[in-house]
Amino acid sequence: MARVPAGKAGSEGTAGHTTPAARRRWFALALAVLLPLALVMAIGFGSTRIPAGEVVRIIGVGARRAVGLGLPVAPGLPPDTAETIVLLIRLPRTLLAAVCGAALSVAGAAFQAVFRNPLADPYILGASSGGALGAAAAILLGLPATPLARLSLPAAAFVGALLAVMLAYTLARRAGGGSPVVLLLAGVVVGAWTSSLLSLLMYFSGRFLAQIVFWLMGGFGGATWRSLAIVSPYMLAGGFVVVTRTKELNALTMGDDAAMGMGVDAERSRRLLVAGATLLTAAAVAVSGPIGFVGLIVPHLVRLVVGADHWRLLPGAAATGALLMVLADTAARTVLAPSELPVGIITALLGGPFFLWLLTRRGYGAWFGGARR
Amino acid sequence: MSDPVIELREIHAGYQGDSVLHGVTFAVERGSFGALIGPNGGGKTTLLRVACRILRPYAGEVLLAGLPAASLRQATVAKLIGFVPQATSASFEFSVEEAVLMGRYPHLEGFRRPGRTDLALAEQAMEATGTLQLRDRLLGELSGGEFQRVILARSLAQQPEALVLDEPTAHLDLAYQAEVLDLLRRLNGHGLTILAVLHDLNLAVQYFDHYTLLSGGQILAQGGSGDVLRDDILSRAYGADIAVDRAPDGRVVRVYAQAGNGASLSSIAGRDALGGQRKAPAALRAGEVLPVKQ
Repeated sequence: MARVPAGKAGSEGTAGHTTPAARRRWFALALAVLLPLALVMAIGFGSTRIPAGEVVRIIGVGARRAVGLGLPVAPGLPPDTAETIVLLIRLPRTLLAAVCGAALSVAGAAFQAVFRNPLADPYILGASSGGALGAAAAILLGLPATPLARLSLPAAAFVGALLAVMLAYTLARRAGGGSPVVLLLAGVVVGAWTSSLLSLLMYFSGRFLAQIVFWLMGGFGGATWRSLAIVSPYMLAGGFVVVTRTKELNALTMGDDAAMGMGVDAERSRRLLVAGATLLTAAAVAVSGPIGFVGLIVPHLVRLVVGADHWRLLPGAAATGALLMVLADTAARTVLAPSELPVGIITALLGGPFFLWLLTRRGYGAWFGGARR
Repeated sequence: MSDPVIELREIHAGYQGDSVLHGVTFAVERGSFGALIGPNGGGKTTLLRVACRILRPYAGEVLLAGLPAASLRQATVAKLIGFVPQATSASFEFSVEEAVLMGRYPHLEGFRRPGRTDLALAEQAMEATGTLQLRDRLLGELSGGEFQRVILARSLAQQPEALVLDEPTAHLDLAYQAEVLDLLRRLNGHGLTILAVLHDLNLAVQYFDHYTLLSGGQILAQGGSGDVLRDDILSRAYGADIAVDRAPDGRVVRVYAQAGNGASLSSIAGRDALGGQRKAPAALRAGEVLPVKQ
């Protein structure tokens, strides 16, 4: 559903009859309509169907209650089931999916720009597996059972993700002076190495094994308002660092020397952007487990429609990522109801073929080989 | 006379502890039109990178418009000097206009976006480089010559006092080479200071009036064609038997390397043929002197 406007615009190309500006307007309009629609539909969907109008009404009630207007809603009546489902289960879950989709997509776009590598995404650079390792270590150490539990898991995932990316980055820097191919290799190596450490932890994890495996499968099953509250500071901080640096992102895509020539301190900007994007990734990974492909594909998809300028790319990627993740999560919890599919399976199932289609597009594959002139 | 836009004093610089430049003192006078020449690995790109404060020297001082570069913000450096690196692959799906607008970044404080003035300046720069009609094209769709002119337009949009170019004619065919160098000469006529690294000496002699010969990390000669483009000096710099043919009026007709069998080759081909005999330049090892191509 999200693909319709984007795919159409992409196949028309720039030489088509739509101007880039018109294409961007349609895309923005489509997202502005589809995202709220998808949120409401997703909340209404499930074992208990709740009509869209009812969902909107309940959210309105919840919002007014949250801001303390104390609306006299049916005083004295027993708690409404639909209200409980919407406000305590599906709304936080859907919002969390949206926020994580947005975070992964923005992080992916940032990674692709700072490393000048179209294959870069949170997962391929080792941030997700590093985050997974951190989270698993935290579970193994029994941290979630301590008073600081709710903060320790995201914190451990964040540290793990940051270490993994830094390791990949340092290795690549030493080996190839920042060449994208070397970076990719370093990321693959660090990812594999981190995964083996994770396996080692799991091998010795005993009674925690089920907990780790469940976490690794990814998904928004356990989402509560508290999970949202936990990731918000991380995502706000990471998101702020990235979205306030659209000029730096643009400049860095031209190469370090060119960026410096444009007055951008390349090394410093890259470090900050990597930290910000890693923060976004780690926060997402911490509350949902590793969910692949979203961070890789959404930036490419949006770039096809709005172009490469991060001023437009980042908001477009955030909205599209949110939309796709909400749809994927809704599919994950309804396709095999009452049992639930890990959402990562769905994103990978849809993402793989889409990425292949992207590669076969005229000119786009040249990105991977360098100049196409 | 002396009003240098760029001044290097006793610069020692290199990569990861290796030294590429050994005590280079060098000035680019305001309004000059200079070519930086020399063999591969001689330190040309390193010198440009030091001058644009992309690379910090181990020792020595860089002055930009009389100001110590070490204490300047990168954005301030970018307002003084427009740097045109060697053409790398066109990255991402930027339109030409978006790419040229990036030249306004050093003038945009904080989170400010390019405004109307910036767009006007970008249009001027595109006009000057003949890229205005390409404004909505994507970088990836451009030919080599078009791409080079767009990068040039971006540097012009920076409104710098000097333009520093690393092999602006590399990978271009003859027509585009002439086009780019003609453009540089026109810009110089309007008062813009130009310093360009050029590999092709035969091309350089058609356009430039001032030469700096850099070899082994040191400046071997500086001055006009008669001071620099001499058989003995070039032969020493390139480690090969280089000959310079001149017309009776002193104008350089051609510069070429004489191969062992007596056959003469163009300067480019000659260097390649002799390349294997020369010591591998230390600076090329790390792959850092020349930007790594994707």
